[in-house]
Amino acid sequence: MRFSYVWLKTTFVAVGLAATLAVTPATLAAGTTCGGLVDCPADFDGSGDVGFADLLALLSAWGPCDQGCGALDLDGSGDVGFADLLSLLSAWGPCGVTDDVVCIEMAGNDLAQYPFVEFVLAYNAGTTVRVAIDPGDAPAGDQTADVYIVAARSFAEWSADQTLTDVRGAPQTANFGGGTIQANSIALTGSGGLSADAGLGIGVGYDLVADFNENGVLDAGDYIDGRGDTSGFYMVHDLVAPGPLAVTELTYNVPGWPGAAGYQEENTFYPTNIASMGQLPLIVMSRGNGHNYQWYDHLGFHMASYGYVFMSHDNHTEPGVFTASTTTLQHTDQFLEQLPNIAGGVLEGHIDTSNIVWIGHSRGGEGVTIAYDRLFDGTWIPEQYTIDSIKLVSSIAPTDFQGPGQTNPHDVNYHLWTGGGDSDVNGCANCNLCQTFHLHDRAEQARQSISLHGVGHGNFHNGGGNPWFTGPCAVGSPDTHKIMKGYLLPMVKHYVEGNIPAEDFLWRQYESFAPIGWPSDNACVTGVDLMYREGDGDKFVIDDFQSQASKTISSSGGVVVFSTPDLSEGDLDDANSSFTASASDVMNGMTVGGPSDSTRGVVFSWNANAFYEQEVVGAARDFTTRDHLSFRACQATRHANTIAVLGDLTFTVTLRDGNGTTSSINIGAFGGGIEEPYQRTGCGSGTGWANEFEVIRIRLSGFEHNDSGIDLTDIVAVRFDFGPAWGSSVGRLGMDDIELVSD
Amino acid sequence: MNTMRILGLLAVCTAASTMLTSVASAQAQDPVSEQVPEIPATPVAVTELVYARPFTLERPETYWYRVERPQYGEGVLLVVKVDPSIATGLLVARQRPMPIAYVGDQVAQVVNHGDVSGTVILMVPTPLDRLDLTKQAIWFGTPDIAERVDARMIAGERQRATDAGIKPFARAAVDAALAIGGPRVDAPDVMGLLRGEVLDLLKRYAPTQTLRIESLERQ
Repeated sequence: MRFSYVWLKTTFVAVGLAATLAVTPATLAAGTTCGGLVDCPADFDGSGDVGFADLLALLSAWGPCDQGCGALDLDGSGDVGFADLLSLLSAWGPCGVTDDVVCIEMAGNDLAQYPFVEFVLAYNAGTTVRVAIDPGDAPAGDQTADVYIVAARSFAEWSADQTLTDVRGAPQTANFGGGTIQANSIALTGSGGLSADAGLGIGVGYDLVADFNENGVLDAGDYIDGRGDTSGFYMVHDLVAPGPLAVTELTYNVPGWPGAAGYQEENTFYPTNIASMGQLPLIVMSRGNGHNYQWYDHLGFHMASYGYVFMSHDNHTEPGVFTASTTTLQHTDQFLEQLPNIAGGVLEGHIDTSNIVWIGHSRGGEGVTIAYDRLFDGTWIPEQYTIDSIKLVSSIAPTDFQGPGQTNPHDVNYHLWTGGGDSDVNGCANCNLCQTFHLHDRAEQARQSISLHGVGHGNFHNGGGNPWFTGPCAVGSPDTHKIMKGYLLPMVKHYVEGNIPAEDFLWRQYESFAPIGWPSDNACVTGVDLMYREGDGDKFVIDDFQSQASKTISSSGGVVVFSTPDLSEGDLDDANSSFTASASDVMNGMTVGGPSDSTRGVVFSWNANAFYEQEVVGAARDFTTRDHLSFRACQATRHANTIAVLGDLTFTVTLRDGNGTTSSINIGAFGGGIEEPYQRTGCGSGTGWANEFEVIRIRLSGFEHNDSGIDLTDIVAVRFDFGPAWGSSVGRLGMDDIELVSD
Repeated sequence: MNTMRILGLLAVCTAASTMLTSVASAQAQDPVSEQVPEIPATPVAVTELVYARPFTLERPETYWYRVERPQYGEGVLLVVKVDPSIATGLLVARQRPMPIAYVGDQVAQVVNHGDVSGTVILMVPTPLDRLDLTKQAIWFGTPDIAERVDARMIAGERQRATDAGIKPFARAAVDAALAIGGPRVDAPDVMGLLRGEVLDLLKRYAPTQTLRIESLERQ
């Protein structure tokens, strides 16, 4: 049901009918239609008209439907031919609207406090789905509907077939006449038993329909969550469990390659039936120093069982990280070049060289980043792939020997793992090259990090031995691997395949949504901080603190006001060599930037009610053009206020419109809050390790719930309220990257 | 069997015994609480020169362990020992900077881990006729990554070693090591050297590095 808020509230734009059917925001009211059902089966791309893209799609499928033609076989004859072409040409132009339905988010979870319901896209299998309609969005007339859970249909499929068939066997009658959204939130009977068997995918899609005229057909006045190509919701299976494919493992010396002598071996995992499969994405794993390339079989088996080829290579880390990067570059090229010679050529023709993921551990984790930098700078020209082939670079507990000049992800999608108990790449303020977050913050586009309390450097691989762990409550390697598998799979699916439900795992609070196989029985799995920032897509940055040094002006030019008594803006880099609390070191515990970096943010404390408010400027005041308010925040380690209320820290986010109307959401509503630092000693006196940022994303439509009266088309300020009236009574917080983002 | 060979065998037995004791000790510990000693203050002298053998490569190879990345076609394989009480802190593989091994004016490639046994196999890409071990000391210097070390840094490290009183081995020790090593080994390339003499040295002096040994045996 991830219809863009745009779609819900400004209508038709998403289906390309803006020119003829657009309505202005001022006319919006409950029950606004979303463009209606279009009788337009030849509109394959859902653009709202039949055009060249649809023609090309049809021509590309010309011939018998041996592999299935789907909607392209317009006459259902079993092939795509002249009759289909004539049908398409006869429908050329804008699609006609036959009926109006309401596209709206309805699949959600109940929350204990306002906004009382969160609309989500992904559910873990076995979870009960709830359908909810805010009173402000409920129809004015008959408010009783038959609620259908329908097997997911694309835009074109809904246009072709409006018949409602509930996958549970029968729809469920529900009334949405309550005065609150919580009264209009109804558990869908039997939804916990919906199939999540997505095969190689993450989740099975379903669309949700409220059939208000109860005629078994999606038509005028009905509500739908999932009208587009994105389903209303997805049931996700256990991402920690192996996928459906049997896996074959190979260990070999790359034949015919002089390379770095003694470092030519590879350990490769692939689906055993690869001969019957097409081209699969390639994951390249680069080990760390003193590690063995065969220690990543936990990831290799897992990813191969979901349809990836996973190649872990020996890595020349001993001279250093630049040399390691050369090994990654060479192995990627040589693996592809030597496919005919590896295991009798079993992989030849089955590697998608345009979809490659690089993962590296420790020195190898820095190495893969340097490797990308060398592609970016043009100082290394690969033969078998291009820079555009690299869809994701993921570093596990990386070092930072080379700094921003070389160790720089630039524009690639970047991911970081950090172990809070790492005693090697330990993150202490006295060791700049041990601070993993530097790499994350240098990434200019999409980036995310996963920080795990209780995890040591050696827990990430499968080689046993010393875990390089220091700190309380060790998670241990087996459960660390479960977490890795549960998050690596959706992350790779998201970046390589554009998998839709996978994205939920990248940012939703782990306390309320984590992979099913997650080691919830491990009492030490208590601190998992997810940072997630999208690339330069459809978003507006209210303040990233980079371009305005003044504390009272945001980077977008808005006025900033605050009552927090000790607010400081500056480089997010601990100013000295310890984590010992100090009034003179306002950025104590910050390690996201190093001496050569310029990643900035704000820190402040409160001991009573206080606020921090950002003005929203100009056209950005129309919040209906985006879906979420997003920011990242962290607690300040060893600060007296942090120690005073050790635990998840909460506060309240308020939007204020041009009329002075406000609506507020406490971040604790979504589970957890801002995690306390890992309670590890060392690196000075006191207890608490590096500050760990995590992302908070709040769906903007939530601020409208229960007739809040807020006008999202004219938001003049985003305000953060702290203190006993708003959340944690005291605290010290770092904050950065306040943005409006889209799904 | 001459005296030096007997001494060499004794050294191997001692190393193996120390290693087994250490492994047993490590296994008895809770891995969660297992701590790694800090890196000892450098420079650290090697305590014994066990083995020295010159080699040639028919096909020169890039030397990755210093910033200039020179080509080399000759060199010397060495086996040395360090004080067992600091071996783990000095030699255990870390991601962070590790003490760099130097032989005279050259960075030496550390072939094995040696953190348990204190026995270290070194590969020095300098011809024997330019590597007078009676005049050039062997030591571990300031922690760093070797690919960043250049001639100027080597000179500085050499001065620090001299200032710390680290001296070359006496003629007798050098001659004994060369005698144990034996005549020059001629390999077609560095891979051939690794598969031949280096693999033998690993089996003799670092037998616990089974994955590395198995890997070279496969290649």
